[in-house]
Amino acid sequence: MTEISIQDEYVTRVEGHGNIVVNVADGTVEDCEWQVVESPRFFESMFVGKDYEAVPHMTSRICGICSASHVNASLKAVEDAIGVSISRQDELLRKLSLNAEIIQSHVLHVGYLALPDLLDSKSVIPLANTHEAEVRTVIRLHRLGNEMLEAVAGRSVHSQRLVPGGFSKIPSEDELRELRESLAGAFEDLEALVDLLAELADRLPAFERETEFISLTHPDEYALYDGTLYSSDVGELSNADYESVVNEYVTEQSTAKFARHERESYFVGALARLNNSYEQLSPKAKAVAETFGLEPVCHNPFMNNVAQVVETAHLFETSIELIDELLEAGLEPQSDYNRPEIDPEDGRGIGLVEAPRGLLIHDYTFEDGTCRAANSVIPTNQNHGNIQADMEAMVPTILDRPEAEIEHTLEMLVRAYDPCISCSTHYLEVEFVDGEA
Amino acid sequence: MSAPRATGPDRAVEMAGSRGVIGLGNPLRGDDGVVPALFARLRDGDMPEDADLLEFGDASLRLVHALASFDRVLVVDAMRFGGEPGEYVVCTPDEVVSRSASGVSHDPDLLEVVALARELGDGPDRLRIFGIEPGPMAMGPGLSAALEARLPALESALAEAIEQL
Repeated sequence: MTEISIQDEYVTRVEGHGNIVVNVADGTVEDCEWQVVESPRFFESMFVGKDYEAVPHMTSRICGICSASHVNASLKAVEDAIGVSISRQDELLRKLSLNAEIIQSHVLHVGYLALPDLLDSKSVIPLANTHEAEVRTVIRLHRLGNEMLEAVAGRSVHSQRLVPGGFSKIPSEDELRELRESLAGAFEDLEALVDLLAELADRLPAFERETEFISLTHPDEYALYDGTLYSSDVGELSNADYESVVNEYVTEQSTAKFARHERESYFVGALARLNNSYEQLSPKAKAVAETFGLEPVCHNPFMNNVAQVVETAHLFETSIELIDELLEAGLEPQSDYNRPEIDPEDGRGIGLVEAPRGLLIHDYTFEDGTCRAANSVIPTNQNHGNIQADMEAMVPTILDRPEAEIEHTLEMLVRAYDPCISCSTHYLEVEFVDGEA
Repeated sequence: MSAPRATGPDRAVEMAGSRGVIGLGNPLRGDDGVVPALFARLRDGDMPEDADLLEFGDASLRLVHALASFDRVLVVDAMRFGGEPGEYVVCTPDEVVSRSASGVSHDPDLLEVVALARELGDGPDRLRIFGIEPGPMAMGPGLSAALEARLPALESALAEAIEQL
């Protein structure tokens, strides 16, 4: 007879706060919930009434981890709405900014937040003693992501140089050359991280549950900055009809919205991208994937950690290619205080990018240069339903284990999704049953 | 006294060797924006020549790089410590214990990042926290009236804490 009661408040080493609740009586699972309990944030309401220059700048404050992703998605939506196009140079630089942030975020997640699980440590702090070389490797890689973003966007967080129509300031060719050298020199550190993870990969639970993977795809590249919505179940989808893809809904267990498409839930993030665009990974990235035997379609959510490392290799290689293209063409000079001239049209625009944690969508309507309506769909909200479904499938298979081990395994499951709860931008309007606030 | 040398968040990482003043906070989250508001005032005023202002927003893990780059660091953050809104405290990391999410307002915990830097032997020789008790941290720009009124006094106190760092 199995009796289990797990009330794991505030799963650690995730961004934000979520609870795991599992109750088992007489061997029967009575409760099994992934609860997102952090106060909702409602940035979208703040965008309404702001001008087209202010909105992307404000989105940079939605999240400290995915700041550049929000800015890029926001700029694409703004420019789509008001009828502005950007140069190839600006597009390459924006891609570089997105690459930098994904490197930052993946290294942060794998190195600081997930690795302690595989080394039986409560956090990365004790590892500074027991695995100092490895921790320093992670710190160097993380710093490289910071330096990349600083060079391109002016700051390593809450970037300011990306503006509607281009950049207020661009890096110099010397800065790009320096960045290229740093990237080329960092493969050794990346290989060290791959080797470490490969030694520990057998500690990742061998759990699988078939699900739907949704990401952007692109005919010419591994889609991150640009692409068309794609489902592993039904193929290409319409970007304009994104609302019918994400189908956000509310549940009693969470203050964040959940999402579903063809099935009860779907998966976004590194593993979804890898499953949908594997053939377009760079050679080094494919080699990393082969090291772990990771190939599409992989239905083990714990392999999302590995997919992040695979993508990091891809991002190193493709960032070098982006810099090479910029340097070969030569940078088109511009003022250090550039403010692109824009005559804003009225209209609606939708911007989609792949943020570190998956598909990110911003959708605005502008009139006379002022935002009249805004919507944002963030990756973590799209994954909540899949975390819930994974928990429901996984708990019955591990009931024979000690309670602490069940709790730890479920925490690892949540962390594998790399949830960033603090940037959930949707809010629920409520009223109090007694009529008083 | 002169204008601060750097106003970006990372430039000073390359300018190691003196005083780093690192601010955390989100100007779109009510009183959590008190530090960005204070930093804006400090940038317009006089600062010691060897002091670099770094605004990290809500990305405290980046602190680990900055902590390794300065001899002396002052971290400035909204911090609930049971005071009145606008009250401040200057303390060392050893003088406070984290109460998880209810302590310093940015994940991951500032004290954890400090502990990591110390374990690696990368922490600064001198580290102080300038914590400001916030009022409401509701969504939206603008400080509460209580904190807005305290800004001049907080600016003076912060400037003094930087001098004494």
